Amino acid sequence: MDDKANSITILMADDDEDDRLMTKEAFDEAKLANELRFVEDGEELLDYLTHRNKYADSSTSPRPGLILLDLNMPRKDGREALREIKADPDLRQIPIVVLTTSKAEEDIYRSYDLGVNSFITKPVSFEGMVFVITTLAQYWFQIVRLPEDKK
Amino acid sequence: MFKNRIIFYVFLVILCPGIIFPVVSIYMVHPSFTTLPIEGFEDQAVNLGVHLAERYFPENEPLSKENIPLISEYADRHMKDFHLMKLKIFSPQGEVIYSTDSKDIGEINQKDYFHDTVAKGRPYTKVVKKDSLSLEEKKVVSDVVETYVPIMSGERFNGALEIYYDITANNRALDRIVFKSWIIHLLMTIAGLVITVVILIQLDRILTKQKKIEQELKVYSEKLKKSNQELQDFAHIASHDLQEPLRKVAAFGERLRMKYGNVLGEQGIDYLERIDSATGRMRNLIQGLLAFSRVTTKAQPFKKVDIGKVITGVLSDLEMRIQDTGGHVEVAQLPIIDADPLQMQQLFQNLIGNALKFHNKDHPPLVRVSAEPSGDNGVHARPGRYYRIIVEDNGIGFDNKYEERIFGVFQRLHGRKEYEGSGIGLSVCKKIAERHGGTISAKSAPGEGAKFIITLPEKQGGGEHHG
Repeated sequence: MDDKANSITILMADDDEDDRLMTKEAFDEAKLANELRFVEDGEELLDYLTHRNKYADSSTSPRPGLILLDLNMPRKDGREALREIKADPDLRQIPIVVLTTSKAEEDIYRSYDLGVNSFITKPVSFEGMVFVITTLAQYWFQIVRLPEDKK
Repeated sequence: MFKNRIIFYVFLVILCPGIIFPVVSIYMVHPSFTTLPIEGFEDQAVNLGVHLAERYFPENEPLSKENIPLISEYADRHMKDFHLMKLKIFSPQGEVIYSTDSKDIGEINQKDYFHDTVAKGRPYTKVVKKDSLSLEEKKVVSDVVETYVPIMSGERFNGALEIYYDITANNRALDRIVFKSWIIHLLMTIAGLVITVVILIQLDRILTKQKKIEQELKVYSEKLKKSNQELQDFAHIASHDLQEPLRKVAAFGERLRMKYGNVLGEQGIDYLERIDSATGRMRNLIQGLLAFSRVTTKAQPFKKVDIGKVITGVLSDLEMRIQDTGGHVEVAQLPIIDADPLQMQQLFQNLIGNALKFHNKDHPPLVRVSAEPSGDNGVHARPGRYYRIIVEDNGIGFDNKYEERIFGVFQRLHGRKEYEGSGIGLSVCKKIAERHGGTISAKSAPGEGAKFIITLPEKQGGGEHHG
């Protein structure tokens, strides 16, 4: 992986502390050098992206190259956050991958309808999680070309 | 009087002819009873007049006192013979030239009817009630029919006879008949109304009771619906939310093994394996519960489903297991019915899957799927055509006393070591059959294979069924 790919920040929005820990461990296991940051709900996710409240200083909250989004979260859930991000002309280029426990048809349909880039059901095992993270990183940072950050 | 508005309307509708019929009979039918005999009296009077004229009156000559000299003799005789009350003879000018009541003689009738009607050759009749005025404006003492009979020779008016019949007795007899029929009418009407009211009151009572029962039933069914819905929501949410911590237990167990497996020792690893196996079972149970609740929460609308095609799909899904067991599945002609295609797939996947799973170790499984038309077997609430679809195998079977039990949620007849499974498959089958307004039953004996019979309606009436 080249430096440019390594410098891409991944932002994960998930209210579940265990899942955040598991994802972090899976990241380490996959030996990814990217910075992985966490927010705990949709509200915080939008604060981060639009540099509001505690993320007002944009130098400490770099624009993510990929967002991992849980659907079921308190305050503002993933669906609402997804709709707002995809409606924002500044943010809608950021690829979003839904990573959720839901397998529900309507969640899958609604997510793609709102413009999500991928929908992944959280794997049951840690091994599965490592595989998903490795594959995601490979796909989004090596295979796919992402838009340049203009800022 | 009536609690049901409809019954009250029925009562009104029945009341109308009950009133109209006697009114019609009194005002329209009964009067004809009296006009009919009067016509008879008029005819009789005319006949009598013609007879007298032919016999005793001079031909072609206007009547006068002079040409009817012997009148009083035969007039009296005729009075008696024909029960007349009075007999008068008029000259063409209207002068009374003879009367059985001598007081009348010499009077002159100048009324219009005499000159306009009788003098033109037409008889004229009037009924005079007792104490009212006669045609000559005299009071009569009884009910009378008086008839003027013209005596003509060709076009010429020669004079007239006036014949009085006393119809008091006749009228009295008629009145009695009319009164009797009127009373009968009245009694019949009253009896009819009383019977009607009694029947309607009974009907009203039954309907009111029925309405009350219906309302109670509605309340119960609403309650049941609500509690069913709550139960389904609960099962759905519970199974979703239960999966979450389970996933963590499994995942962190795995992390523990990966990172610290070498320091845990053999016993530690054994514990971890037991945790792993328990979480696996728990996951199966939760997924079973989810599958069970999805029969109603994820129900698709009914449409035409070719069961034969469903079985083909199921067999291709089960291909590996059929090959592994060396089994064979025979499929006969199967019907097309209104159903939820995914649930039909699930139903037969479970049943054929079971048939393959519980096969006899001594010989490869043989599964037969067949169908036959079935009448309304009384268990079903709706009439219509049904199909009996039979899935039978030559497997290990089971004791028929467990027939009810095997369709219960999480009911198993075998230990986990013998046969894996969550005990949810057949309960899902039952729920699917019931949602389609059908039934499922089983027949078996240990070692003799099992036979599962699903009865499903050919057509769906639209609504859901809650077995």
